[in-house]
Amino acid sequence: MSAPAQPSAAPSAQLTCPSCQQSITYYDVAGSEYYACPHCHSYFRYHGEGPPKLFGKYREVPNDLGVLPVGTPGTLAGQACRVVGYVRRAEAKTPHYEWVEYQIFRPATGDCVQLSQFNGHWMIIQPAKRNYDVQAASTRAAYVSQPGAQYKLYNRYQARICYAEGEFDWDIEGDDQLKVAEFICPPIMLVQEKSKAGSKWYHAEHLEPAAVVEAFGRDKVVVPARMGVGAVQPDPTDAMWPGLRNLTLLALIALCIVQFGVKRSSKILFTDTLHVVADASGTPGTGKVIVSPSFTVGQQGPLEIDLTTTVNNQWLELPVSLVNEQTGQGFEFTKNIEFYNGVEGGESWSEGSRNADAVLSRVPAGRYHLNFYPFSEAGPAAPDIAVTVTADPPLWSNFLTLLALILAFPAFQLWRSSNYETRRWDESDYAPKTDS
Amino acid sequence: MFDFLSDLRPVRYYALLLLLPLGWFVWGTNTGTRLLGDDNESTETLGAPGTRGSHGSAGHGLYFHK
Repeated sequence: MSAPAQPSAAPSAQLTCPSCQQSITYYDVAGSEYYACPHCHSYFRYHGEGPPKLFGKYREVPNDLGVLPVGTPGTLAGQACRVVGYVRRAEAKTPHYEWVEYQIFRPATGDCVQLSQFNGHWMIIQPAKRNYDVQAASTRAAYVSQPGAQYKLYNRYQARICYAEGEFDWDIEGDDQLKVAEFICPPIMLVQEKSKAGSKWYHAEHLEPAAVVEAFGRDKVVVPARMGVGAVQPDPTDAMWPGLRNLTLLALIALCIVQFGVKRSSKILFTDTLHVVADASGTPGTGKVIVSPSFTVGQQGPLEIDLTTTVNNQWLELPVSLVNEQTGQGFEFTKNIEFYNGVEGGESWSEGSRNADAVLSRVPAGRYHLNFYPFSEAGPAAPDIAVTVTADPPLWSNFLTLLALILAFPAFQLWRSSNYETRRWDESDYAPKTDS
Repeated sequence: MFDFLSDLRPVRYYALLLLLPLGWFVWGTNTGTRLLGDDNESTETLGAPGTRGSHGSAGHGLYFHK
């Protein structure tokens, strides 16, 4: 990148400070009328004829005089410009809210814009050249409605000047009387300045710190680090939302096509009710091994084994094995089933479940049977077990797992975006109310 | 169509990453595999004595062959 264009052709002139008699260079020869001396910090008016009119002095000179010294040339939005003024302002009621405004003179058009910097967040401010209607103006929910955008009230304040240097085409000290309202729809802010004479509107737009550095020279400018979220700082997730939405939609369509489009018709291979018989020779509670009739799995796939028992106020530990009668390959699982119920204090209660199911993946084709090794609480009647074996059941856990994976990133971005807006409005007294 | 593709540009790496779980899902559906693991507790592959994978320590699968 080339160095910022120098407004070399811009005229400049000298005037003498009426207080310290030192020479001051000014650039907006036709427009500037008010001056703040960088040497003695006097504020005076001079309109080309007659003696300057001295208003007073700024007593408190800040240690930090900003990152753009008065006189710095640059190129802003492709237009040569120069920093001609520096104003440090604060809210009248909350003086710790201080910000800096740089008066930027553009010789080519002969007009000025302001660069505002608060907590490392930059905006370029220009006259709106029109008025806006404020809806619900007297409320905290005031807004300006424009086609495609609603500008919400972000701040209302009166400002005072803490310090100034350079030249200005209006009486900056008169700004103390203005009632300012800011309405935001990032990255744009509409600023209303109300005085007895009426309202004036300004159009402010977020500017990245890198753009300020680029405009005024990468070697010269070190911008302050950003703190928090700026009033009109764009949400970084905004740029990805259209793509993320389209991509998520595509992924969900693909998911549904695979889940519902790939035909794996479920088929019940075996269903029977088996009765647990106590094994007198074993430990109390041990049931005799139950061997189911054989059934055939036609093709490799998942098997679902549903177990519905008649346990009542008892538990049942049920190891089950599925055995391939041709290869001997075995699958095993154990289900602990317990169900208790009763009436206490006139109210019935129940705990646990009589049912259980198991899914076995990639069971090869072949002839199988099930072995059951029941072990239950000694005492109550031995339960019955209704068994249903289904081939190729829909694997909803796969579907739900993928659904969660597909939605995880958009959900995270949604949370980030919401958190970003919360942090933005944390700086405002007019945050939209959320129902709690 | 051009707008659609240009919209995807900021999320192109995520789009590539998203192919992994989708491929995993397609594989799971085609092979009949429950992705987060099934209920099988058996450590054997082919449980019958003398077949590949059996070391004579398989569980109930070895018993009660018809």
